[in-house]
Amino acid sequence: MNSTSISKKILEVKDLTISFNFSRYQSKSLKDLSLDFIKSPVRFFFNRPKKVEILKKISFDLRNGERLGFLGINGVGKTTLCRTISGMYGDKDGIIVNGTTRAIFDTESVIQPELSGKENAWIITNIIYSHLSKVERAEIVEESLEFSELHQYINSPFKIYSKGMKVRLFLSIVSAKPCDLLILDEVFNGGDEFFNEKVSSRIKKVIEGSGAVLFISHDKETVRSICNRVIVLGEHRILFDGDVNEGIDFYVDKFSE
Amino acid sequence: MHYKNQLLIISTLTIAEMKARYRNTIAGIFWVMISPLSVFAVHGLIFKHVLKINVTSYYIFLLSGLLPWIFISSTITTTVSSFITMRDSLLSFQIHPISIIISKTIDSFINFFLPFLFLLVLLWEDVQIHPIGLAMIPIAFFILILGTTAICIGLATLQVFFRDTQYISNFIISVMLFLTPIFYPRHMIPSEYQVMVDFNPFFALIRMFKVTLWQFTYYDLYQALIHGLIACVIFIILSTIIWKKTRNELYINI
Repeated sequence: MNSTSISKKILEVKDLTISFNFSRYQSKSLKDLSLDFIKSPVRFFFNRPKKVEILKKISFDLRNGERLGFLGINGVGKTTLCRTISGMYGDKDGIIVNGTTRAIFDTESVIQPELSGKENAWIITNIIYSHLSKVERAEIVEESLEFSELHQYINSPFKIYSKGMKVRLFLSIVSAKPCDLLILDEVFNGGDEFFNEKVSSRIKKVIEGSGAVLFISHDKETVRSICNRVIVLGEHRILFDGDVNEGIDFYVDKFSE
Repeated sequence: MHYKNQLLIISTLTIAEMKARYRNTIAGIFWVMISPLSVFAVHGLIFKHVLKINVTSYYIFLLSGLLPWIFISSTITTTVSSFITMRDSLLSFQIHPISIIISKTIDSFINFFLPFLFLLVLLWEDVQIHPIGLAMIPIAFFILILGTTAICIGLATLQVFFRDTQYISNFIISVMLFLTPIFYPRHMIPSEYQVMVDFNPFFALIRMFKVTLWQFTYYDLYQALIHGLIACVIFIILSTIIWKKTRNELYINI
């Protein structure tokens, strides 16, 4: 998939602006709304919600074989950008993805805590690999359960799993197959150091097998070892786009001031 | 995402929901039957035998109103907070939020359909179902599911932004149980209050069952289907507006 053509464009982001209405939607209760109304009825009805722009006019391409690392301080919009690209916020103008996308934003998520590890493995596999056949999905479940080394716990309820056990199972499934565009957000956190080492090499293999990768991590060394390109986000825009080592140096210089 | 993939995700979530609900319970899957049947039995006992309500084939009348009502109310109650309770999953995977509502609605429909079928078979001798009425039941089911799903999508979305939604919807459900002709016939309502029934969207979804199972006439069937469809379309339009207006901010508020 990755080695056939380095020039195939997997992702195209053009003039993408991501903004949210924070003022209108703040999980207000009836009491809050009543107070707002009493304080200023005119503002309550006629005040236009304030749009906060997280990222402005972002443009970049991602080609086959590229492993792009996003760097930036907390709250700069790295995860939001990746969620937007993955289609979580609905269709957006300015994003074209050529191929299948797999996006993972949390490694200890539980679908049904009452069900067993094996049953949850099936659920996660069906969600992530819904495009594959049942036989292929069954192979992924079996292989992932084997890889996770949770043998005696696979039929225990998922709710009794420790954080590390959940991460083991989750990462084993996620890293089972490559795809055209792989989006990974802080996936190396949570497991014990021995399993992390084991799963890291498996994730790296999946990354190598995938068409293109968007990778978010605060660990600069992980970014250095996985990525071949870095984008530094800040001030609502792309501050740097280029070589990994230069990008990390730029990031350190910029934000350690 | 391809619709086939979405169907797989919806069926996976539905089966998981059903398995999880009755895990570690003694009666297990029998709760699907026990709960609605006991509600049905209690209503039947009180209105037919204690209050001696004068309605022909009362149990069929009750079946055609109470069971669809239980479906609507229980689906709303279980789905209204589902975007919030499924927050971790929604933020972790590429699950379309509406898939969660659809899967919970299907689960709820199975819980409604099994006791509905059981009671229909049990009361079969009392039923004088018109063949056309029988043929229309699947359409009534379809409109009921579609309308209820639309209500739940709208409410679950609103709940993300206005946490009072679940309390308001619970309150409305409690009130509507009495304002909707479910366990009493419509003709018992004084004419000056009939307008409440005319504009009751829940009754529009339920009335189709009353006509097909209890007192069938072609005119009533035509009216019931038109009202049911209108209510369903209104719910779909409203929930689409709410969804489209709030979709962008949904993930940052859950």
